[in-house]
Amino acid sequence: MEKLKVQTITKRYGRKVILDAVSFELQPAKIYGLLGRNGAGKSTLLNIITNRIFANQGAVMLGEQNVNNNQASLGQFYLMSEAELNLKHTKIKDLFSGAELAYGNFDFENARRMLTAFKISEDQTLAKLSTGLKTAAKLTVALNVNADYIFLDEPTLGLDANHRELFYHELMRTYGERPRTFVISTHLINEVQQLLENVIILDRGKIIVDEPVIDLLAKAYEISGPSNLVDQYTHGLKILTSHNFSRIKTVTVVEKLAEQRTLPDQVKVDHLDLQKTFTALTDGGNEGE
Amino acid sequence: MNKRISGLMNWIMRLSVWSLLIVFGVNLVFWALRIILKLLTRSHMSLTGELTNFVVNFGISIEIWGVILPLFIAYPLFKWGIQYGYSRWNIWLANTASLVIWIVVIWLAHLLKNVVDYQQMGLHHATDGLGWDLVAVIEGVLTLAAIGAGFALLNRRWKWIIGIGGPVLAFFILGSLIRLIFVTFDSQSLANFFAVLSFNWMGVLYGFLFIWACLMFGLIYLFFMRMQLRRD
Amino acid sequence: MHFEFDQSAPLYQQLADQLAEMIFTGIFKEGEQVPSTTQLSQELNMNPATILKGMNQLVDQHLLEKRRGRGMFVLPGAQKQLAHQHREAFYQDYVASLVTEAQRLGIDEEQLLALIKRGYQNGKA
Repeated sequence: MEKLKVQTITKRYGRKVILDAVSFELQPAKIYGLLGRNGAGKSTLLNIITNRIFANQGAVMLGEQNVNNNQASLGQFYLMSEAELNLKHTKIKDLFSGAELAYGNFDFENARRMLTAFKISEDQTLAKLSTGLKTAAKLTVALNVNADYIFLDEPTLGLDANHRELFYHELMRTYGERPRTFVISTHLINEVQQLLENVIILDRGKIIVDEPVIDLLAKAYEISGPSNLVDQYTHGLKILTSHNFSRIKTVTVVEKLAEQRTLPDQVKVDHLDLQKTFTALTDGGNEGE
Repeated sequence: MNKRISGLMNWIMRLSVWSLLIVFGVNLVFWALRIILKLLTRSHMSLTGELTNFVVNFGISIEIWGVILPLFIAYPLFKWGIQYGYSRWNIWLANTASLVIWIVVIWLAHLLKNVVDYQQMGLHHATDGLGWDLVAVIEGVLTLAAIGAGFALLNRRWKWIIGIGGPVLAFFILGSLIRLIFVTFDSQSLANFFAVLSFNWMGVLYGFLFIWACLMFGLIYLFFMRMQLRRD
Repeated sequence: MHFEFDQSAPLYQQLADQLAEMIFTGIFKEGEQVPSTTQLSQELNMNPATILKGMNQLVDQHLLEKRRGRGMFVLPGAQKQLAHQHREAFYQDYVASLVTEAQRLGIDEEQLLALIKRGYQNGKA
């Protein structure tokens, strides 16, 4: 398996810049979270990587090969998204056979087992399913297709809590049996937090985070206490969000706290989870009262 | 043939056969209704007459099938293909292979229609003009496929603009061009020009048809290479 | 197997702590194999890399050992070591501040020991 390199991808729609010289690397057999607010360009990015749409500038490389119009490279990618790419009468079993013909070695056994778990039959017509069951059916294909880079764009769309748990379980199971790269783009950040190894955050067309989750969260803090003490303690740090209530000030920072900083008794320092870290980084300087 | 495109060919052929069967079925139903009506009104019927009638009607339906398929299949094929990581090259290749198959099917239908038609007039006429028939089918299918692929690149708004504005513009340009020719060249040089043309009329025709086919083929390739998943 | 995770500390740390607790309480006996990274990953719906980091921490603390091709095993003496660690933590978290507070209130060592004795008697009854 080779590395997937996204190199300075720029995408414009009219005069609006959706992706601004976006660059990052995906390694084999890792689970990535691709996070971003609505309209941040996640789906566009995934569509560009899988060659469904063209970028204005930049390239996507798999190893040394450019992915554009390259069957050998594209044959290692699979993108699951909301887009309806099938004709109306398509049945779930047609999705399976399509995947088998295109990629080979489709895991029919596991796929059928997953369908049973989701309580859908492979003879059902895709278009007649509810949003949630449609997603479940597409997930079943995505988790059993023989590709090394699986991109999941909003894989939890419409899934109820039980099905979401089932999805996470099946993901870990198939990842354990056959390690390959998964890129999960979702809004349910806290639910997927523990599934991810690395996280990439897209904000206003640029990559603002590209590192292991452990490293990011190791430097994500919420500091609260009397305003003056908090200001003193966080002097020189980049404050992401700031919130005042009574005389207590709460700020979030995402950077290493130097060991030498003495922590006054009344100031509390807590760790942030991935969702709070994400909202702090992408809030764009929200000031709260 | 590339093993790689077997999935695409599978999808296209299943769609082609299904649509053909539907066309066949509709024909059968209307033909059966006609038979029943004839039986009820005790009209004159003959086996060969009715069979001929069926084949002729089916032949017309195949024309319609042969127009609709290349015209509308480009974008659905593209969408299905990109879903499974097929490259544009392979999608185009499968499309091209299908065009060949459809051309042959349509032409064979014409042959059958001719055989049945001319049965009453003598078999040796059946094969008249079959070569030209094939040329006509090829030109027709390629042109429709090019239009279909071109429209796959346009969003809804532009489809209307080109769809209505395009033919209007084409007529306007053609008309202006003709008028321009008759204005700039005097009758003598025009007469000479047409004389030369008619001297080698067949050559000119062959040339034009060949160039047109190549142009359409090239456009189909170009359009498939620039196709993208649309947002509308 | 029941695990609880929250925001208090990094996930791999919480996992390490809870595995250590299971060793301390004897759920995983010394010399016994603990579940593999893959097994835990599927059981807890957690990325194997996180689990590996937690288990490696226990390896560094000499509570677990990696046996090539076989998996992770609880080292002999792990329980004793954990008991020692817990005592140390108890001293830091409770005793040290207890003594400081007693001194602040003017309670001397003898009086403090008497109070502690009373605590144990009350506890027994």
